[in-house]
Amino acid sequence: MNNTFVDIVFEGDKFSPKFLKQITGLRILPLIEWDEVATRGRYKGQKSPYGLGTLRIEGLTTDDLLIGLKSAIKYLLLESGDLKKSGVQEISLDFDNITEDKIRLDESILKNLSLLNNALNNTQSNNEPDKDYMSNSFILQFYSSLFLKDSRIKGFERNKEVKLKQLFSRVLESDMTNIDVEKIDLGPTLMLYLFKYMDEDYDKVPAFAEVLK
Amino acid sequence: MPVRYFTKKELSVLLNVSEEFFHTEIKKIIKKDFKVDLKQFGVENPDILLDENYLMTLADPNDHNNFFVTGICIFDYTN
Repeated sequence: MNNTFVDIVFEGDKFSPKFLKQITGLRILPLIEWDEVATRGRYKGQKSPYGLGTLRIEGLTTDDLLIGLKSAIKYLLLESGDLKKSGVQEISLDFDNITEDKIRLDESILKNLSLLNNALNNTQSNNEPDKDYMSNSFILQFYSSLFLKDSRIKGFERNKEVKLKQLFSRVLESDMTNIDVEKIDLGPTLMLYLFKYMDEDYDKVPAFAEVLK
Repeated sequence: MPVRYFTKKELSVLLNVSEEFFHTEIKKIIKKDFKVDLKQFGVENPDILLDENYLMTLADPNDHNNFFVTGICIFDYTN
């Protein structure tokens, strides 16, 4: 199986990708640092008038990639405060290594990306965030530590990583509106859920909310 | 001055970088450097054309007659 990827691109007039990496721990690749003398590009030898950085989301297949991308955008939505603090004004997706007909972007990815860009620019949106996304904050933090940060587990078998991402997506898509997450010890419950269904066929895995009930 | 289209592979060889590096870093910086200009002629991901002095012209991938002359040398994108 080929590895495939999408780059999430962060940019802003006063954006510091190094600072974003520092405050979030995300695996950001800093490309251009605002206000530092650029070593390459149009502004080579001058102070750069903008900052640019990327976060790569990888997958074994396009389905796997989309699952990862969906969770990553949800996580970024949760962390929009830190993104703003580092000067990010716009976030876009770069699919340069995948032809568009091979990838069908889930509507929720586009919706959350639009919400994210609105949040970064303090503009009102007609869209409401996913109703339970705040209650998923713990799960998203957990997810980001495993897959989006430098602290992620090294040497993890790729097929198991794919499975784990699928289970996380199952958790994140669970309707938790009628569940009082504050009354549940979410960490151990999540761990048990992941362990229990790690080797189960995806179709047979119950929704996380069902297990919590 | 006549210009010629260079593929990603040709540009990588010219700049002595991997195709992966060209995509991951160089192309993104080019697109950001000229984002405003590219927006004006409705192109997000341009093809790169070079003249004999390696100065870049960015063109619509569907129509190379729709282009923008940058006046910047492609070698400015290497450290």
